[in-house]
Amino acid sequence: MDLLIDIPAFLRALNILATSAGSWGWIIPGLIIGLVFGAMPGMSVTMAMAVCMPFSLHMDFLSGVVFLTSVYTGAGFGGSVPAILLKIPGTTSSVATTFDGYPMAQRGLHNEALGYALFASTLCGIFGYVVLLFVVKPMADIVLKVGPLEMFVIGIWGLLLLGSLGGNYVSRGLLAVAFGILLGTVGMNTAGFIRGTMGMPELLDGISTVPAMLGLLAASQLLGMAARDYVIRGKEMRRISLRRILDGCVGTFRYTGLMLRGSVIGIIIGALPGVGSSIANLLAYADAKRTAKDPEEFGRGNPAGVVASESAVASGEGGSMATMLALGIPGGGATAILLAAFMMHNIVPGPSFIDQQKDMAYAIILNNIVQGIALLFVGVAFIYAASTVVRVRTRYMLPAILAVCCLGTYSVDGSMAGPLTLFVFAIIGYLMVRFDYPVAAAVVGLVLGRLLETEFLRSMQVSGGDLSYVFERPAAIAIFALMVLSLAATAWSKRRTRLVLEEGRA
Amino acid sequence: MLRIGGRDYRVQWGHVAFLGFIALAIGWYLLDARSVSTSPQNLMFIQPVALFGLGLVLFILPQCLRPARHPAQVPVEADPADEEDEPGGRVRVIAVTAALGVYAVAIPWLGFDIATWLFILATMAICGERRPLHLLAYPAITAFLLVWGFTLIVPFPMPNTLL
Amino acid sequence: MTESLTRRAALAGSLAVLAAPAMVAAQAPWPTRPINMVNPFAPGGYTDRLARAYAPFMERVLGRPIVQVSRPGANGVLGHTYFLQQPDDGHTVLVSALAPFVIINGMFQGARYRPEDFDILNTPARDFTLMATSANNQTLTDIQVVATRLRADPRALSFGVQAASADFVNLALWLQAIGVERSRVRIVTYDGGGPVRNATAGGVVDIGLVGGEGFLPIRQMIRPLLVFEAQRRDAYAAPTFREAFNVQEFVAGSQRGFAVHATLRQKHPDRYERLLAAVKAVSDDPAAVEALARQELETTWYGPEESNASFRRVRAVMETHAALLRPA
Repeated sequence: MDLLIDIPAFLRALNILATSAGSWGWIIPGLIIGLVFGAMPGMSVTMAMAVCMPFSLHMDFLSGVVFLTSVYTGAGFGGSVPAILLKIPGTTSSVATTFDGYPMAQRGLHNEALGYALFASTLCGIFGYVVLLFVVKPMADIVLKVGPLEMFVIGIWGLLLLGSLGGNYVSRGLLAVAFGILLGTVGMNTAGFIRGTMGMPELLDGISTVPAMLGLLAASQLLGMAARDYVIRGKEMRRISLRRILDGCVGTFRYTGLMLRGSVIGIIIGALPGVGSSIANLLAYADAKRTAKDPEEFGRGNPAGVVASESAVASGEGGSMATMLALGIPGGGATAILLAAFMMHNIVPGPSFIDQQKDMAYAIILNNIVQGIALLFVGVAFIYAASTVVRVRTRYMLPAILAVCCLGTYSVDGSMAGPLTLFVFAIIGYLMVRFDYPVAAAVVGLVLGRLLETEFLRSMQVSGGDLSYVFERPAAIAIFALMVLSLAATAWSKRRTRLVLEEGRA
Repeated sequence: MLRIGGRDYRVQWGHVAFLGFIALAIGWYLLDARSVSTSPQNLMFIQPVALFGLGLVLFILPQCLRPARHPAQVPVEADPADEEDEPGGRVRVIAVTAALGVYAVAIPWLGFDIATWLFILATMAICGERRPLHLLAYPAITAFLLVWGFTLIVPFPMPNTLL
Repeated sequence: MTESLTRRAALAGSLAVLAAPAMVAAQAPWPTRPINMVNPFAPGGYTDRLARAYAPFMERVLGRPIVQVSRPGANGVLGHTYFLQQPDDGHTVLVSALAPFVIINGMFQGARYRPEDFDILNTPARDFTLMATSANNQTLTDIQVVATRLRADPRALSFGVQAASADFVNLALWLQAIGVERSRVRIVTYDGGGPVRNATAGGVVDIGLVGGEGFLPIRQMIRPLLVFEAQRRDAYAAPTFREAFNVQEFVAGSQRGFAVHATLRQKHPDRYERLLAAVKAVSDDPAAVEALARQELETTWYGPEESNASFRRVRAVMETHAALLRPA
């Protein structure tokens, strides 16, 4: 009985949590550390956890895990704060959050936008863990069966987002994405060929995404701030209001359908090893925009865009925890560190862990749900404090943030290539904005380029170039069919709306 | 001003140069990849994308020409600094960008501490700060806190001169 | 630059002293300051865990804290380069999967260092290539079935393997042994061992070749077919390459452990001996062996001579088959 909760184990898990009250104290410090790291541009979730891991080794097992997963939970949301206030995503998982979050902030709705983001992220994160409680094992089995063709189709789905990224010229948008994709493929590909590295070993793993992304977006936004005295122009718009933050929080409940869809995307993408929430964030946004009645409102400060993109970030944490607990497979950097922390406490996650220590697995999941609830409160305080940035004059705020970006890009891998990449891409980004190329399209290409090439190549390798392989992969066909259907349905409903409008006018 | 077929055109030379840069980058990447190997496992994906990109450059190139006869139709060039900005906004943006470049290049020579201090000082001055006390205190304190904080938490050695 | 390093290290050091009161302080003249341990692979991986588990026991012998320095990227090239750039005074130790990565770095990734630049103290963790299929695969019951299927039709089965790896050489050698043309086989390349394991366990590829140690946590999800080892492995009921196909030559798997600059032994023989003693102490201490075993970490003592010799053997086989390894 995998699908239902194992009741005795569940009760034992409650007992574990009740008897280890000491571990609860680590939730708040963990969340705060995570929030701060996530909000610093360039510092990643992985980084936050790598820094905290040595401390967790001196704690008992449950305390250590509680502390590290709290950092994980906090950092998952932290990245959205600068994404909304400054249009610079704190982590790669909050790129889509900038699309509508920043326009909201520019209209003086930063309080509400942050409230929407916090509740969407956190509620969906809690939902992700609740789902995990029920399906931890079957989900892990499905994850392993996902092959390169399915992954490629998912990548294409992400690319479809580009159709909705806007810009005034379709051709310039396409060139931006092609350029981004090519940048994403620099380095050694999955078959071992090394291209475009100019002999620099730093480029073997490809152009570092975080500095390049920060550079492109910083140029289009951050540098432009030098010309203003404040991030938000109107004085009365810069007000920070707890009531309006809470308005945003409550407003989230109007988008339950969006959150549910985003969570499902987040959980599935999060569970797939090596994909990561940066793609889930984009997919959920694309999905919301495509199915919306008013797609043209997206990108201009539509709360639905913020809710949708945030809903897929924290929920992915539940998905990647499922893969880690049930298979011992780390889906990304953060879970790799969590896995190491488990092993350093002599606990080896994997199928036998789930079978024999189900109570401990439940205890960890339940504690994560509690962390989510705690984040709802800690998060409100954090965004209240963090939004003071809009009240600081740019002459103080801008140099500090640019310095943080430079230090952050250095800290990605301890290489001077980080700050230099940031600068080179800042210039490219500046020119792109100047000549009306959508910078976001290049960022999406950069994020997806490697995945697309790798999975396309593997699909060809595994099929031997034989097209009939497609018919052996029903899941890929299903995803693809779903995609085409949803596109067709959208096109049809748009046509109908237009016809109705025209009739109305006539 | 360019005259083609009896009509006057304005050429956006900056845009032409930018397209040239993109084409050069894509073309170089394709040639570099082809020089490594022409195996399909190397080129299967990137060659079509690169050729598609080069095709787009050719397609976009005519957009750099604007008929000069209808000045009203010439769209305002988008710029990170726009018209609502402080006077001299665009100069400030370019100056901050240059400061960022100098900062990135100078870190290995000056260390993070000194470079960060000078960068914050320069950027503050560019953004219009003139009060000596502020220029003295803020960059030093901020640079110290930031670099010291990063030095403590980053698992790599941070090249610093003083800290 | 060095000043900042010492300050940082000293801070970490004072923390470590607080954490380990049992440590004998300043008994010997060297080391007088903390030792940096450079890890060129991702935090959380095997070498990272090995380094962190060894550190407290080595600190007891050295009387100085050990600072973990993480420099991951580019299959170890970045970290190995960084390590060699540090002064060869014994204050910097490398923990790495020396074979095959140091060799591969030079052969294919344009690294500017050579295997001779490293002097190995001990490589306690030695992996081996395991050929396996998903436990759900009903048809591929043993290695002879696989060979027969492939001889009849080289395109019958797909193989998952990491490009430019020891496992790749072993796959090539095995295909040679059964007389199947490699270019006709469907080989799916991955960027790491982990993805190969996932693809194998999930049946995305019919057969995977990858380091066997990493399969242990999910061993019930796979069926082992062949081990590239001198002897059979207890954990896996599969024949060795030699037993099944009477072939002697294969590449040993990853050899993970500790190394110093090749010049240290000449320059500072006393420091070399101190570091060697600290690494050996872990293998000799039953409490340490047990503590590491609980984390599924190895502590076997092979010593510098055998470890270096084993590293050279891997290098010789890989260089003989360099042509097989180049991406086709």
